[in-house]
Amino acid sequence: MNVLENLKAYVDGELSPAEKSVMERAIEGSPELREEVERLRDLSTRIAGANVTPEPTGYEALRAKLPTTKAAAPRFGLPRMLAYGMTGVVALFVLGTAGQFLQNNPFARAQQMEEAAVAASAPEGYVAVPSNTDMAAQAPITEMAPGAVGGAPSESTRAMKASPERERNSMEERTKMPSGAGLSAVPPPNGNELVVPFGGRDIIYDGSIGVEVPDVQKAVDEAVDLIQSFGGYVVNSNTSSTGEDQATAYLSARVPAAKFSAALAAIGRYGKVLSRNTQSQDVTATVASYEGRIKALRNSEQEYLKMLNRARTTDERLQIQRALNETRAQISSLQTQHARLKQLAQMSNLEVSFQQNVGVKPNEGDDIWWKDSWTGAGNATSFIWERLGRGVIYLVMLAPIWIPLGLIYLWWRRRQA
Amino acid sequence: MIFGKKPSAPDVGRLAELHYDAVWRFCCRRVGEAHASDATQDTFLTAVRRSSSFRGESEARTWLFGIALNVCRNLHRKSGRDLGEEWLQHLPEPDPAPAALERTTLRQALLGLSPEHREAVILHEMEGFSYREIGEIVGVPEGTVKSRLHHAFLALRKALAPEEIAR
Repeated sequence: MNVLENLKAYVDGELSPAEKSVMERAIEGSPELREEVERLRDLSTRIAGANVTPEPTGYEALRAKLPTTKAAAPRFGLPRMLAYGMTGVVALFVLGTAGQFLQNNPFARAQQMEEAAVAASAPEGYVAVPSNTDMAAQAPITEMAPGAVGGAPSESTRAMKASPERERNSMEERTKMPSGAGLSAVPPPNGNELVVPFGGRDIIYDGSIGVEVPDVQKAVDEAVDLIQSFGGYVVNSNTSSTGEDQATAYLSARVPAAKFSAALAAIGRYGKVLSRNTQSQDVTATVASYEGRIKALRNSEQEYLKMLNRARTTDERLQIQRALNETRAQISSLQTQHARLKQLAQMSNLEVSFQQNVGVKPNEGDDIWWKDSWTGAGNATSFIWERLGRGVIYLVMLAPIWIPLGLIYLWWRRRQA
Repeated sequence: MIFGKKPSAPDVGRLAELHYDAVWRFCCRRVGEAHASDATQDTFLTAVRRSSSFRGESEARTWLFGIALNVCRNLHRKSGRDLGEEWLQHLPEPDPAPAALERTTLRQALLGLSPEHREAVILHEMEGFSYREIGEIVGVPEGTVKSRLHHAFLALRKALAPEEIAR
């Protein structure tokens, strides 16, 4: 214990009992310390004696400014706690939604395309053609093997065309997507009901439904009207009748993806549902991959055109023209596939079969409203939980940014106060 | 504290009745008589705004002096000088005859202290706060208060040494 430093605390009665007894023993045996104690007490008395100030003023002015009501509610009163909680939940939801938007925004999609383009520009058996590189200056045309120039098909590419499965696997590897993320089927949430996802994903829905109805022709007419009212169209329709009660009908239709689930549910209410199948494929990665490959091939096409202009001999021109034609053929093929995928993602395929049974009654009111409500509530809840979860993840990941800012704000508030 | 017993928010009107004079005098010592009323008003009005943040960990008086100290520090910062010197330079004489020399030397000695040491001396020797309470007001550990007072008294005794010898 530093005796001298504790002497002032001893005089002020601020030492613990143990420290005090040690100090008292030290003072007992030291006349200098006793004298020091007296000096400290004397100085304290003198300072206290000098503590004279004018009479306070301004109390009335303050009273006039003070609110007449009692003090504000405690910090964590129930209403305030609820308000803070709700604000936090809303903030998390907004954060999650913003994060989801940023993930699907055009910039992210463009980046995904760029990655796909880079990967697609140098696949197995290909020679990459950088878009800003002068090929003619780097390698003489005469030294190139036919079909070995960027975009031209090699043996492995031909083999891939022969094997769609292999092509798909190779494409997934090139776009660095996790296995199954390309053309994998997304299982419906509860077996029958499909949830149309939010955000800019490309998903192909396929569904079929078999319904036993009292009047097949009436059901067909209503189904056609319904599909058209949803913005869809009937591709194929076929009705057959083998007896009075043996009529059947088959409809193949396309409905907008956003209305697919509603159309399926509405047709199910015409009678007794005998079968219902739904299937979905998330083709977002595939579409992005196509777009990337088309972009890469376009670059190759431009390079070939430049090379064609510089070609001096007929052989060179023929060789380049051949490669150019193959590249254009690939572009055309990819564009067709890309357009088809986009179309399939926009308009879902719905197959409906009706079978006559005069005894069956339409499904009016039978578990419709509550089932719909139940499904809708479930979908909404899972959507909200998903956004909140995303919000929490973003909150954690962004902690290095908002925690220092928050601390600075608190420090500033404290300083202002 | 969220699920614990809720601290009762202080009634600032009642606090003003009880502590207005003490807070005014403290402000007078820290920023001078000319600014004391404004500083005291600011203190209580700030207390009204922040009464919901009173956590009940300290006494209301300590909490109030903590606000007053920050208000005075802000005034110092805005004015760019130590306003407390005004009070020290106009220290009245408690006793006319022997106190003339006493007043001058004490004033000089207190003026020579750093603002932190002077705050500690005023809060302890003039306001009567304990070391723990000063720590809460100033926002430093109790040991720092002890050290500050020790060094403040060393400095005061050094400044008052010739006068002590004469006594």
